[in-house]
Amino acid sequence: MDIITRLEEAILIAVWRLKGNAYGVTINNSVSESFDKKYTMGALYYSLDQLLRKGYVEKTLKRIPKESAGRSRTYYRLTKKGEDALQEARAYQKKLWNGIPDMAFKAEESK
Amino acid sequence: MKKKNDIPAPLAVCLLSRMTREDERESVIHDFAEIYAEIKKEKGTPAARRWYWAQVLKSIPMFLRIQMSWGAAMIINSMKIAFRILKRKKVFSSINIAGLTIGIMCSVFILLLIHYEFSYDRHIENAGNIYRVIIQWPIEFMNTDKITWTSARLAPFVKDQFPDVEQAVRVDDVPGGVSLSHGNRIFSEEAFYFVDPNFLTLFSTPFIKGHSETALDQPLSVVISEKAAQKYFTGENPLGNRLRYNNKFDFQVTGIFKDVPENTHFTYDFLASFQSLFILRGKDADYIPSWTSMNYQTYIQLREGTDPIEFARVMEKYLVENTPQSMKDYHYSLQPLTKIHLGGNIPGELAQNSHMKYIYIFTGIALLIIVITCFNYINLSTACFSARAGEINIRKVVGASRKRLIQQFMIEAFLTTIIAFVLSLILLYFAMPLVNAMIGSDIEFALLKEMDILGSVIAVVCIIGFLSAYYPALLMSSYTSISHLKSGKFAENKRSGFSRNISVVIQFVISMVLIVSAITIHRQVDFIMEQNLGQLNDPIVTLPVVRDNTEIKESIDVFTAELKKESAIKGVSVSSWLPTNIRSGDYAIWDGQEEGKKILFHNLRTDCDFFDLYGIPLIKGRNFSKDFPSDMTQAYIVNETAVRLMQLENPIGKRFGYPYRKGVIIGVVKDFHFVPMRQQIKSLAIRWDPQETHFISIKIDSQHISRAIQSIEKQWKDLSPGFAFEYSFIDDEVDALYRSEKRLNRAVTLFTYIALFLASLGLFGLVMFSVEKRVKEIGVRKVLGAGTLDIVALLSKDFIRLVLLANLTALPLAYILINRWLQSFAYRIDLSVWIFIVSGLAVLVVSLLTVSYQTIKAATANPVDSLRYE
Repeated sequence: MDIITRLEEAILIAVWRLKGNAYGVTINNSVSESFDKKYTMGALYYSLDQLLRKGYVEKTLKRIPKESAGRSRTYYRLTKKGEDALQEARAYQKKLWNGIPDMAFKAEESK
Repeated sequence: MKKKNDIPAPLAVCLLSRMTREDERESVIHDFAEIYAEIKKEKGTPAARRWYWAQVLKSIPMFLRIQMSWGAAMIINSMKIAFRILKRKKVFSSINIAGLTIGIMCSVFILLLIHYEFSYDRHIENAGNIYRVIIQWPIEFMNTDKITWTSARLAPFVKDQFPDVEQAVRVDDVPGGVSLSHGNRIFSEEAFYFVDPNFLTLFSTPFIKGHSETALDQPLSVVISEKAAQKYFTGENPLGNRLRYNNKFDFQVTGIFKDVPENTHFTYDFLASFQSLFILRGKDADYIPSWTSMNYQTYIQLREGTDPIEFARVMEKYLVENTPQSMKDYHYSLQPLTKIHLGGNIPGELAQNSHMKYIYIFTGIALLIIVITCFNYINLSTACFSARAGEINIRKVVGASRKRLIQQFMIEAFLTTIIAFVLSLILLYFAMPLVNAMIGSDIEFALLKEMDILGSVIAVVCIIGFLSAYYPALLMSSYTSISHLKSGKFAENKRSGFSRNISVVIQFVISMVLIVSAITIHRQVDFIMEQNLGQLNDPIVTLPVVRDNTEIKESIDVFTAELKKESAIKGVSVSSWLPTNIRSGDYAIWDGQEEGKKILFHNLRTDCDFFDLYGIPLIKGRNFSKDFPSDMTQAYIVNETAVRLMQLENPIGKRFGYPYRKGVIIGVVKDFHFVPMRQQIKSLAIRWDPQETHFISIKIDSQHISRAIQSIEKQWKDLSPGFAFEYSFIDDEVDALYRSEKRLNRAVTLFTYIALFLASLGLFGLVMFSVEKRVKEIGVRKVLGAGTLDIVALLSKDFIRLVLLANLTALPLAYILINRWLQSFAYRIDLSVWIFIVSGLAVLVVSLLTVSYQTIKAATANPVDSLRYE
């Protein structure tokens, strides 16, 4: 399985967290919050598109509950493959940081 | 909830919706609007607007990336399918690709040919400002009253008088060529010209050695081409070396230039200084010939921006005032340098030229072939509809838009076209020398050298691809019926069936017209050859004799007598012209001439053996004879046309002649074609004058050609060692005269075969599909007792009917077209019915053969195979 990018990882986490309410605006807000940085919508859509093609997320077109004009919105949901990818990313992260306590940084600095 | 003013900048929304894909569009716009509304609530409209614009603009690259990655996937997918379809239908694809390949090959070749014809003289700098002076005079000669001969005074005169003239150059050729020698190398040369010194700058002759400014300043200096330098001076330095001219004068080589490109209206290997001409004639170098001595070509370069027509008008006015009385009726015009090659032949020209009408003919043929090619593709692809019905319908059901379907078919068509294009270029690259040899052209495969040809070639290919793809794509994508999905087949649409029939008819009309043309042109060319040479059983060899060759002229009696001793030689005759092409003339006077009646008589000087040698029969009177010593000084033999034009009842014994040589008519010969057959036979007066010899004709035994030529060469070298020995066969001389007709003949024949082949290819594919479609019907019929012949007849009937219809349509069309071409000949064959019958039959037979392969296969197949799975 490919290693996913940081932004993609953040998007996947956001989609997972938002459960049924994951669509463009909410995902963007969530990602922007966790990185403390505003992403352009275009960049977000591009990454979502990539994830869609890799099969990590799937999308459904749903009516917007509050709207009466019959507007619809694309909602995203994690697939099984997406969940696995997220798990794996987490395990990978752990492995990468394994055996390096926070102390180590301080020790390095004082040298 | 949403109000109108909630819609952010309309332009930005529009941009955004353009950038997104259809299925995403709505929710994307919605997302943007939501954030917009939020910001508006917090910070107000202007800030929200700013945010909206910034977001849209910043997002554009990302949206483009999304679009591109999907588009690429789509095209890759389409290509994959296209390849699969090509692979699955092997016969069909190869027919299609073969047809396209041949069609593209022909069009590209013709494009190259046309480009080459138009490229003449364009390599010369300032070509756009250089003109040749043409004179229109009150004498009709060689079917036109125009000539390129001007006085040697014209060029210096216009240069002096008109500031608009930048340069003016005179050129003189040497009819019959010259004999050049250096040491023991001795050759006869045609491409020898006398030119003014500034010729080199006017024609931008690329100099390699020597000084182009001063090279031709001195009399008896000559500049030569690289090729000529190789030929005469291998291993020596040509500069300053000497070339002997007609074994009489020594020219000093003062420069070498690069060989002149073939696409120049006259190619030169030797350029001698203009004053040399007068020295050769025994005059001073600064001699000025008279206005009436018109022998020279004049080229002028006008200042940039001068109107040539206006200039010619002013020049004419000035010239009429300043030239002798006899030239008052002359009109002067300027012919642009770049138009000389396609301007047809004007008497006096330095070399034979082509004609615009051949460009039209070739363009026409190219267009016809493109039409046939496109029709082929359209026919075959619409025919295979039914086979693809399932695929198309599934695509539609799953949600393919019509645009997508058209895109799919276009991609398939372009893929086929591109494969065919590459194949055709490869084939053409190797076939080029062969085609050149066949048509007698000299075209380079210059596709990659010149961008403009490559551009037009690609344009042609795109047009072919588009034309042949668009119609089937439109047609196929237009089907929308659930019934097709059920049966998995398209019901044969009336419209497509009809249009396919029409295109088969048109293809065969084109083939038929081409066949009729090819046969007619072929017969006309044969007719020309036959008429010109009559019934010659033995070959005739001709030796040109250059003007200064006094060695052979003085010993002509010995030469003739010696040759006659050789058994392989059947006859010898000397003459001023060859009987196929007599080009000098004068006004004659005769007994009973009406006041004011003038007839231009073509002149031939020869001896008493001429008529016998060439098989020209005497109708009345007698031949020149040694028994009548006065024959040499006053006898004339005229042709039938002359007798008719002079209105003489009994021409024999009538007084006839010229002011400088009066005499009597002693005989009348049958008319023969001494001018090209595009023209009427003119009056001809023949006198006995072996001193004016330019040609020696020798009839030899066809069994001993090489022996005869060896002994001729030996005699020549004995008697005339200072001059090159050169000979040609009279047949080749005639061929050269009709080169353009012969070339046309070969080209049209070649393209006719190709057109017929392409049309048959299309028919083959059509029949294949029609048989496939009716395979069950055939099976049922066979089971019910139909014989093989019945089935074949059933299947062939429709196609044969189309071919017959094509025949009928083609007849009048072919008649009109080919008749127009024939009209350009004064002597031509009759358009007999059998030409049309033969052409019609040929088309019919070819189409029957094409159809029969498939139909017989279908008719003899075991019906069980086709019915088993029902």
